[in-house]
Amino acid sequence: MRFKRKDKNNQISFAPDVQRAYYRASSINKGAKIQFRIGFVLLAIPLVLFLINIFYRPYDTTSMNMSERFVTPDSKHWFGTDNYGRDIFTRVMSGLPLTIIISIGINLIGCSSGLLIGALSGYYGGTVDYWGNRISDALLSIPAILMGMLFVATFGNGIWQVIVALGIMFIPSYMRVIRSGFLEYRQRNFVKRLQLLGASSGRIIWRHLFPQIRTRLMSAIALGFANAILAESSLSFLGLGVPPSQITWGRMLKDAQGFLFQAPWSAIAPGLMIVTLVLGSFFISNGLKQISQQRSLA
Amino acid sequence: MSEKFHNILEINNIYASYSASLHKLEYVLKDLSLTMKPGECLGLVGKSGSGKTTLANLITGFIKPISGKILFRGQEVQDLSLRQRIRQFNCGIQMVFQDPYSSFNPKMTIGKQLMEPLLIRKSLSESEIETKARHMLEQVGLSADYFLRYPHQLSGGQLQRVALGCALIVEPCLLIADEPVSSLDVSVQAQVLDLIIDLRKEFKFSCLFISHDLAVIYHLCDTIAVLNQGSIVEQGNVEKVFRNPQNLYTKQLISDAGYSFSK
Repeated sequence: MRFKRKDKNNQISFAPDVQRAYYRASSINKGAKIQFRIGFVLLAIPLVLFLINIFYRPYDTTSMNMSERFVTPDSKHWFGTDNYGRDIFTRVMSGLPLTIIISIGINLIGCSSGLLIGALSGYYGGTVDYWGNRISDALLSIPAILMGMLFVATFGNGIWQVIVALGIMFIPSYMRVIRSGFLEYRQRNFVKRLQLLGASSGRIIWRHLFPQIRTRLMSAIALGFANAILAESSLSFLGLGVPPSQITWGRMLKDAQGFLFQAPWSAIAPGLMIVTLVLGSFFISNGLKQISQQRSLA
Repeated sequence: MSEKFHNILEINNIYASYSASLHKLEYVLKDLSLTMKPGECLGLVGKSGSGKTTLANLITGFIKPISGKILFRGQEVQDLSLRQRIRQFNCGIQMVFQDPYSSFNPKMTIGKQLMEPLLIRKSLSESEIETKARHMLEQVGLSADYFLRYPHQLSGGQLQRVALGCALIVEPCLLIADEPVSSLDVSVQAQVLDLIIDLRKEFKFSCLFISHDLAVIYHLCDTIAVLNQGSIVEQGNVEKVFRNPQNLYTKQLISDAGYSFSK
C-alpha cells in the first residue's frame, strides 16, 4: 500500500516496479550510513593531527639529535625517535600535507584524462570506443613501478615526477568507471529524445549524462585517493618517490626499513597513518558505491 | 524550403537490416512502402518483432536504410544524418517513447526538461522559454506544481503527458508515438489517448502511432498500416480495414484481438 498513489484525476494506481525500486533505492540504507561514519572518523584522525601541527609542533622535523637515537615511545616522544633522533610524532604530523598533495595530483591527472577518454568512448562507441579501450589496455600493461622508474631515470626524483607517473597509471581505472556509466545511460530514451531535438554531443555529455554518473565517480575518486597513497608509499619505499628532504609517510617507511627490528615504532607510526587514511577513503568509497548501485536500480 | 508536397511522409521500397556483414543480410524491413498525408494520424500495427520500432528509427534518422527512398515534406532524407535532418527541418520530427521512465533525465526537474528543447534551439529568451514551458504543462493537463518535481515523483501516465509536451513544444509537423500507452493501465491509457486527440486538434501535427493494440489504433487513428515480417501488407482507412480486411494476416490480427469495433 506504500506505493499506492493518486494521479491528477484522483484515480488510484500502483506505481510500477521501476518506481518502487526507486523509492527503495532513494533512501540510503543503514549499511551505507555506517560506512560513511567509520570513514569520516578514520579520516578525521590524520586531519586532526595535521591541524595540531599547524599551531603546535613540539620538535623540528629535520634537525638531528644523535643523543636521542631510537628512543622508545614515551611521554616526551609519543611515537619515539628515528635513527637521527628526530621525533616521529612531529614528522608523522607534518607528513600529511605532502601525502595529500601527491594523492590529489595523481587523482586529478587520472580522473580528468579518464573522464575525457571514458566519456567519449562510452558516448560515441564504435571506433572511438575501440581506440579508447586500446589506450586503456596499453596503460594497464605497464606496471606502476616500471613507470615510476622510467620517470625517475628520465627526470630525476621529485614530487611532480611521482604525480605524473602515477597519474598516468590511474587513467584506465577512471576511464572504465566513466565509460561503463556512459554506456549504460546513452541507451536511455531521454538521450534519443535530446538527439532528436538537436542537442550537441557536448551538451548531452556534460549536462545530461555526467550528472548520472557523479556518485559513481565520487566513489571511484575516494578509492583512487586510497590507492594513490599506497602507490606513492610503494614508490617512496623503493626509493623512487619524493627526495629525502621531503617528508611523506611512504618516505618515512622507507627510512625505517633498515632498522625495522631495532626500532619497529619508526615504521609502525607512518604505517598506521597510511592504514587509517586508506581505510577511511575505502569506507567512504564503499558507502558512495552502495548509494550509486541503489540509484541505478531506478 | 519548398512547401509543395502531397504527402508529409513517403517511404518507397525501403530495406533495412541490423546485420553487420553485407554478405549475410537479414532484413528487418523488406520492400516496405508507406505514405502519410499532412495532418493524418496513421496507426502502424503489427506483432512484436515485425519491425515497427525499426521503421520509426528509420524515419527519425537513428538508422539508415540499405536501399529505398524516404521523402519527408517532399525531400529525400534517407541519406541525411540525424543532425542534417534537424538542421534542414528544424525539429520536424519528434518522438514519444514506450517507456516513460527512461524518457526523462532522472536528475532534472520536469520544468527544466520542458524548457530544454527551446534552450537547445536558442530562439527565445530564458523567461519566454519558461513561460512557454509552464503553458505547455497546462496544455498537457498538469498543474504548475509539477514544474519543480522530478520524474520519479510522477506516475507513468503523467510522465507520458510531459513527454508529449516536450515533443510538441518545438511544434513538429510529424510526431512518432512508439507504443506510448502500452505500459500504462487502461484508465490512464484512455486519458493519454484523449490528450493526444485534443493536442492534434490544437497543434495540427501528423501522427504516426505505433501500437500492437488494435483497439487503441481504432480509437485514435484515421488510417492504418499493417506490418507483417517487415512489409506493409495492408494500408487504408481504419473503418474500412477493420470492417473489411483484405489481407489474410490482417483478418487474423483482427479476429485474434476479439474486439467488436464501432466508432
